Amino acid sequence: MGRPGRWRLVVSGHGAPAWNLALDDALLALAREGDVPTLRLYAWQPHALSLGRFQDAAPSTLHLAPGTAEIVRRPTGGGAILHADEVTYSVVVPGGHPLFPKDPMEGYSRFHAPLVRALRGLGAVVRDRGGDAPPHARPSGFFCFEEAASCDVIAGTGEKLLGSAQRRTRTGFLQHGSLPLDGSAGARFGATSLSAACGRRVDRREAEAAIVTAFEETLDLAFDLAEPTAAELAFAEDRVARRYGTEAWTRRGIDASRRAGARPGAR
Amino acid sequence: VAVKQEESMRPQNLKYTKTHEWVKVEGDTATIGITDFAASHLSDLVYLDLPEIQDSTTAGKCFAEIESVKAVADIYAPVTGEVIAVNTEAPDDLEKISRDPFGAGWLVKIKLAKTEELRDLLTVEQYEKIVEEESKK
Repeated sequence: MGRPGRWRLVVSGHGAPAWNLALDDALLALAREGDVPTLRLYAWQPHALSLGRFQDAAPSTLHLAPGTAEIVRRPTGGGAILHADEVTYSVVVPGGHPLFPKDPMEGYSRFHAPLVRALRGLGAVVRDRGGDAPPHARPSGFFCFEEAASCDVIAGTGEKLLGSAQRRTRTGFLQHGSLPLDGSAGARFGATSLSAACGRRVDRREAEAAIVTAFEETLDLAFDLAEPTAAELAFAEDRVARRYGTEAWTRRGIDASRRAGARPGAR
Repeated sequence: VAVKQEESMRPQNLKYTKTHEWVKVEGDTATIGITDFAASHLSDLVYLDLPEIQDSTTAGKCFAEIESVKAVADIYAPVTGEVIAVNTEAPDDLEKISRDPFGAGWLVKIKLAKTEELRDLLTVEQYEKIVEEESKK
């Protein structure tokens, strides 16, 4: 039985794009009431462009030079993200846990709070609650970082600094997101970077350490550093083979005109 | 939250699940949808992915997915059976689900394979206790 206040920390380092998504999916799928929540930190090798769960794959070829990034499809909603030099986080909370968010906004607000604290601790200028942006930004652009909602983390310049997305099942909640460390790769997709927001180069080790400390302080918890379980690794391997590593899954998007956010006049 | 007002709109003649789906049984056919509570917590809906006619469903397993702004949620089949009708208008007019979740916002009709599963579903009173508890969190 997991006690509130105790979390698992999984530091995965660089992983292949399909593997990265499959492992987040495994952490969510195998989460059960009574388990402790997990914070996972990871990175991407090779670089990748991840599409939202139902996003049309076709525009990705317009934005990417061939061979520069692998295209994968996330289990979570939202817009496309270019994962280059960044820290990626995922939070998985099992159903029934006191920190299980009752709706998407509560999740963003709860788990962005420690991230904002970490960013400020590193010296970044971060706006409060995304400034004047609406609570939910309708997905109009192709890239996640092109639009900001009040639940997003926005740098002092007004550019989005952290892009997150969620999935919810009966037994668990997953929120993962991307924090660009260096602006060179993501700049043309609307993102700023941690180094730009801090006015100095911040490396992965420093950023990850700040995030871990900020989670502990903000949410009053203590981490146990651990590897994924054998069951989670086996589930993830299966998901790479059957889903995230397959062309059928990656191409299985919906034409933008059929998604409500893209329709002019749709609420 | 005007819980009392929400309670009064939930039909007495439906069965419910802990995961916020509703079931209307007519003969061996079950019409399935998501409740007002689920629709309001997901807020702005973006996309609905429904199964196809002749797909099979298993009680308790995910059979559809719904995307709101920046979040995707699984929808679970309350009963085992075969999909015999799909509300093809719902994905193109998600307002139907937000506005009229128990009527025009229905999702699929399933031909029941195991009628005994209906015994495991909740009455409106049992469901409203769950909603009340979740609203307190």
